[in-house]
Amino acid sequence: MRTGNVIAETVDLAIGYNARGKSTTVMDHLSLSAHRGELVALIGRNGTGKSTLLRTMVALQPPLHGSVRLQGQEINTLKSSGLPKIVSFTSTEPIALRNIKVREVVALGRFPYTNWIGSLTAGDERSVSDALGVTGLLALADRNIDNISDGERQRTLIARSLAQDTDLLVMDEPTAFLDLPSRYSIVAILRKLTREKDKCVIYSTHDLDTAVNEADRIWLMTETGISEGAPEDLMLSGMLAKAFESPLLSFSQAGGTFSFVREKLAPIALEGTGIVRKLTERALRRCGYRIEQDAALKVTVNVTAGNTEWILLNGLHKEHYTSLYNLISHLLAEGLD
Amino acid sequence: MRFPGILFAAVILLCSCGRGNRQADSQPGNTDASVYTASRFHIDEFQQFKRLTVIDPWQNSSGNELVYYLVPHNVQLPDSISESQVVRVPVRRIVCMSTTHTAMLRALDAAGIIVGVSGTGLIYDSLILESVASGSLPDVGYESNLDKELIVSLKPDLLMAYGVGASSAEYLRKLTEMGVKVMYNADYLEEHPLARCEWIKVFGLLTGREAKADSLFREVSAAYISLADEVRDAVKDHPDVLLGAPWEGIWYISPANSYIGRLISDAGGRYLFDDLTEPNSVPYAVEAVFRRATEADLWLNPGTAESLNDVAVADHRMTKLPVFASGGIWNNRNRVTATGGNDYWEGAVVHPDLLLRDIVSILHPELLPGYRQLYFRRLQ
Amino acid sequence: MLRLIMTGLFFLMILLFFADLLLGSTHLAAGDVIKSLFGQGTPHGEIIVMQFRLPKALTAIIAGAAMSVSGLLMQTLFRNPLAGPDVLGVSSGAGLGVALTVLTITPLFSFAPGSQLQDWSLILAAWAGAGAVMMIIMAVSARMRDIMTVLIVGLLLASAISAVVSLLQYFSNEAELKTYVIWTMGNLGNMSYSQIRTLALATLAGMVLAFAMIKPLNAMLMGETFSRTVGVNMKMTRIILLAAASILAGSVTAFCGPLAFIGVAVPHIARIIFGTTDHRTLMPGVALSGAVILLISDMISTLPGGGQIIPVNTVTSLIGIPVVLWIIIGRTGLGRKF
Repeated sequence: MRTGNVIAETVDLAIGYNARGKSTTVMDHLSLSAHRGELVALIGRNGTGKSTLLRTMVALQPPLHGSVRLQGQEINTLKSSGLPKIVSFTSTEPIALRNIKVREVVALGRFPYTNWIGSLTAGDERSVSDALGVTGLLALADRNIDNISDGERQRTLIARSLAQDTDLLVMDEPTAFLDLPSRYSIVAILRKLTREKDKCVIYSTHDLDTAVNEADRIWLMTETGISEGAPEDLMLSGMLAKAFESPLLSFSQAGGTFSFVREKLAPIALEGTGIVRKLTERALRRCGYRIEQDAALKVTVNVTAGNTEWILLNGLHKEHYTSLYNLISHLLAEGLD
Repeated sequence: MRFPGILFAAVILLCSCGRGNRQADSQPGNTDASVYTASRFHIDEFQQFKRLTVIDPWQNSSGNELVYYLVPHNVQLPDSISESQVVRVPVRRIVCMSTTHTAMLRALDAAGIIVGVSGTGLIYDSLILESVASGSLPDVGYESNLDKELIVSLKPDLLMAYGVGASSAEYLRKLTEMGVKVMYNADYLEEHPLARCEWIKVFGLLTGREAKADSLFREVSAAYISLADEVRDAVKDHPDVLLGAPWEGIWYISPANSYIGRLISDAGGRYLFDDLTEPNSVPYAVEAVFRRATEADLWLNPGTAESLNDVAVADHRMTKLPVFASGGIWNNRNRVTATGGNDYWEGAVVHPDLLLRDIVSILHPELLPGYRQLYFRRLQ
Repeated sequence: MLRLIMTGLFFLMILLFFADLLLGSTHLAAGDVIKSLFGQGTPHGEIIVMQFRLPKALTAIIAGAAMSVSGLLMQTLFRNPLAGPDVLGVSSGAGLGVALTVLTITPLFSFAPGSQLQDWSLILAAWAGAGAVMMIIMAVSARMRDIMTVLIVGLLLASAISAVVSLLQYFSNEAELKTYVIWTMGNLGNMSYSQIRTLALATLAGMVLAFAMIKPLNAMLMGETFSRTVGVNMKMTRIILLAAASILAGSVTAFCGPLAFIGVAVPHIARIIFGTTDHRTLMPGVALSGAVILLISDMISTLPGGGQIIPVNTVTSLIGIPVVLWIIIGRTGLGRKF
């Protein structure tokens, strides 16, 4: 990640909307920035205004106060032909079409550069192929858009934004409704764009895991405002925890993940090493146990050549289990304290 | 009692008006008397009252007969007859749904009994128009905006209606439920002008002026038939006559045995489409009609046109017809009012002899030199 | 491949054009028809060919192309596969424009028939009426996402306009009424060459605007958000599309009356023939398909033979209604078909 030039910044921005002469401010006094080569994840709970912010930044909505600057220029001074060459936008609007090929969808990204009828030059074709290559869609290029999976469709939209050849890409929930592998592959592509092509990608998401692990910069939106920084900054300052914690959820700083709050933890001792120990700990915690060295109940993990064995010691009672599942089932069945 | 005689005549009528006779009937000057008589009603006389039977009073109806007993006010009803089938005569208050009805009453000097009319804007007769203007004769509407409450408030002894189809039957049934006596009149379905005119006898019975009705019909019949005979004997060539006009790109050709078709053949003309055997109008392409129309010597009733310009505007290709260049286009709009009343549809019903005279003078001017048409006007 | 289909369709149109000239509702020898085109036929043949069949065939081509392209523009603009000039009341609007003009500004229409002034004022009135309805539909469509709702509003508008026109007729005198009835109850025939020229010019104007919008229309397939972010001026685009659709549908309706279902059905037929939604192909493709289908409809209308005909609107309805039903039924399946 290069902290190069600032490619996007908001100056005392107030976002919201006007309806029937009355204006409603969603959030104000926003001063954010994003840099070239940076992957910026905009996270926050539902309804905080993530979409509004992104749409204001690409001039789809007017700001209520303040301004947005892209590549040093205020967006409302840019001509309508200039802005699309600086920033591209991907939203979650579904494409309700049938007879259109993946390649044709991506080619539409060349809109700001083509002639009156939309013919593609050799250079345009190259941009399209590049975009298809980066998003891994070359093999599907000639398939119809309704003939591919959801993940592939999302990648098509991203390829389209890519074909637009902008230094800044803004995306509104590009991983929504996708399965886990697809979500990871999308974020991997975004990562590649910033690393290999020095682009800046600002995207909003609900997927905290990938955001916290892959993004260079987080814009954390809460009801009161936006905190920005590296993911770890926000973890250290406790902002992340505060934003998402609830009676049910707690944030583990060390692990960088959220987990269910568990009550009534019974003590259990655990002996073992390595990954097996870690995973056993996980399982036990899920069942409502906390690890305590001096507990009466004890589990010992033995790993011999190819075999793993769990030994449960309850006072003088000793039992052997060959799978964690069986161990857990027994513990739960007995209702052992 | 003339019952058996009338029954016999009725049987003859019903038989002779079958399809098979259509071709023969359309020959000019056919003097088969049965053609000239009404086929859709007959009257049976009983000692104290008369029975009127109306037959098939709407289009595409067959086998439908409506029976009305016309009983004088002071006569007691026999048990076999129910009040719902009875019309007390003479009728003192009547609502008429058609101008043919008002025309017949007017011809019998009985217009005074008319208390309501459908479509006052379509009336031609000046006397009736006076009543309308003075406010004493209201418009009762028609079809969906039939003012049933108004009709009931007029307290008519009878409402004279004509049936067109199922929807009008609906409105009329509603009226009957509201206590208004409705009689169906089938005059417009009669194919021959004299047959249509004979319905004046029905009005004669209703108004107690049978003698006047009978004599009027006799005179008109005689005049008509004698003129038709005269034409048939005197005339050698039969001019070809075109009828109608295109509508929305389609020319609806009426059958040969229509009202005007009969008049043309009786007047010594030949209807261009007299080979059509369908009972209703047929949609033709203008191109197809044009072909035959080039042979027309005369063109009658071209829709709403009142001038040659109107004809040209409606379809500029008609200007290429020889009949257009020769000025042989006549329309039945000589006696019209500003609001759309046309005596051709009104008074002419009781004067088919004058109608025939008009058409004879158009088709064979040499037979009636110097005659000025009453209902027809040449388009300029 | 697409070029091949397009060329094939073009030649099909030429073929059908001549077939339409040869067919007609009366019998005319083929030789006579061809000779008449060069002024060498029998006098009767010449009148039939030059006054009846040729104007009808030319009008079929122009009207078919214009109505179909108008439908295509509406379908993309409203993102509604059931949109079309007749179905959304735009044709009725054109009729209303004409009615208002004829029934209230009669002196203009006592000119000699077929005068240029008369033709153009008629067309302008039709454009205005069609445009007004388009604006209403656009406002409704912006608020209601459901395509069925927009369709229903369009049908309601058509009914309402019909009622207004009846009212106007009720309050008019006979002369005005006669002119109105004659002018608007048109069809494919009965067009003078000067009228055909006027219609052709008006259609050309509409087509130029439509073709200029090919690129924005393709962007609009991806949604409004995408269009705006790639630089489409949505306001300007909507205005031009409104103008183009109104001009095309209005001109045809002014001279030929409303042609049922052609605007809705032909774009879908073209999408099947060409297998694409790209407007670079569809725009000319729809125009050609429309011309072809209306020529075919005209020939079908003479099918009864012996001079009798089926009204062209009936034929286009018989073709168009199954297509519309197929669209509606298809939508209930998985995924939307457009």
